[in-house]
Amino acid sequence: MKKIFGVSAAVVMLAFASVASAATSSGTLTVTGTVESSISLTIESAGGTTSGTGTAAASSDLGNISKFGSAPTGFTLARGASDWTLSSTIGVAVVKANLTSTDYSLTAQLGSAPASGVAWKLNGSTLSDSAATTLTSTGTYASTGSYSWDIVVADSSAAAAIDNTINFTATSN
Amino acid sequence: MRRMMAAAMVVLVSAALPIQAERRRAAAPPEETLSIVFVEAGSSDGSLKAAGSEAWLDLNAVSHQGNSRSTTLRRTFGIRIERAGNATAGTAAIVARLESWDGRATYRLDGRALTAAPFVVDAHAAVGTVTVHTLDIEVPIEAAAGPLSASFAWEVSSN
Repeated sequence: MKKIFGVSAAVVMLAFASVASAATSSGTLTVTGTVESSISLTIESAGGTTSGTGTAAASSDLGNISKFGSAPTGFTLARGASDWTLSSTIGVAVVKANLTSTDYSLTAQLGSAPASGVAWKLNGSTLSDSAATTLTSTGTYASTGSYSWDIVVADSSAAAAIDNTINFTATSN
Repeated sequence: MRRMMAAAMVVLVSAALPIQAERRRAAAPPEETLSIVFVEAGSSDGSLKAAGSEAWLDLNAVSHQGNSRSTTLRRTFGIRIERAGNATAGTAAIVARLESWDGRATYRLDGRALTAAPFVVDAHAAVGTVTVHTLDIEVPIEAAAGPLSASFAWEVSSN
């Protein structure tokens, strides 16, 4: 009798175990994409009243400038015999991402022809709107490079706005 | 006494009958069968292609922006647990783990890092309803350019 109940209990347990077993299911989520190499250029500093630093599009307002006036914020003024020069620096940073390149080249070009009698210089080289000027061929990533910036105004030039744009282009080597 | 024993045996055999019946129904999906279904949710940017329990999330081109040390992408998607026969009662546990990856990126699901170790995404997900989850994909700028690939295994089990 005890044996029968023992067997019976085992049968009952098996029956319940079968009913209580959890149902399971599986699925898969696959992620794909392509990581692209890129570099990013930002203007970190510049003379004048500057806005947009830390981005790729900064603006610098020099206000009213004259040979015998005071230098704009962040500039020095040097008076020559027949011209005068405003001098400052422009800080340019280039960072890389997902790229094995070790350095980069940086060029600059004016966005439009400079006003007559006005010369824009970076690192001592006169910029034009027709060709890019190389500032460095061995720029260091993630480091702000400082480039001397001179605006030379001839005494003979007419009083007028000197507005212009300097377009920088960085290319990974 | 023999009658009592016979009656007891009849009861026990009756209790075991559903097992036999279950075995006979094995050809058709049992009612307890669960399935996991991926569905588009959130931004609906079309990057998720789902086919039942399989889904593909295509990030397309991943290009770094700004000055941060990594590129982070966020995608949302939904999961619905279905029970055979369209029954919606009950809850199920959802477990996920990183099954394979190329090392280019790290992944966080609902803010928690996804690794090869299974973790419980939802211990009591309601059957029949969509639960929305967020997948953050972080690609460090040091990662080599190239194809990105990872696979996540999901498992649901009834509570």
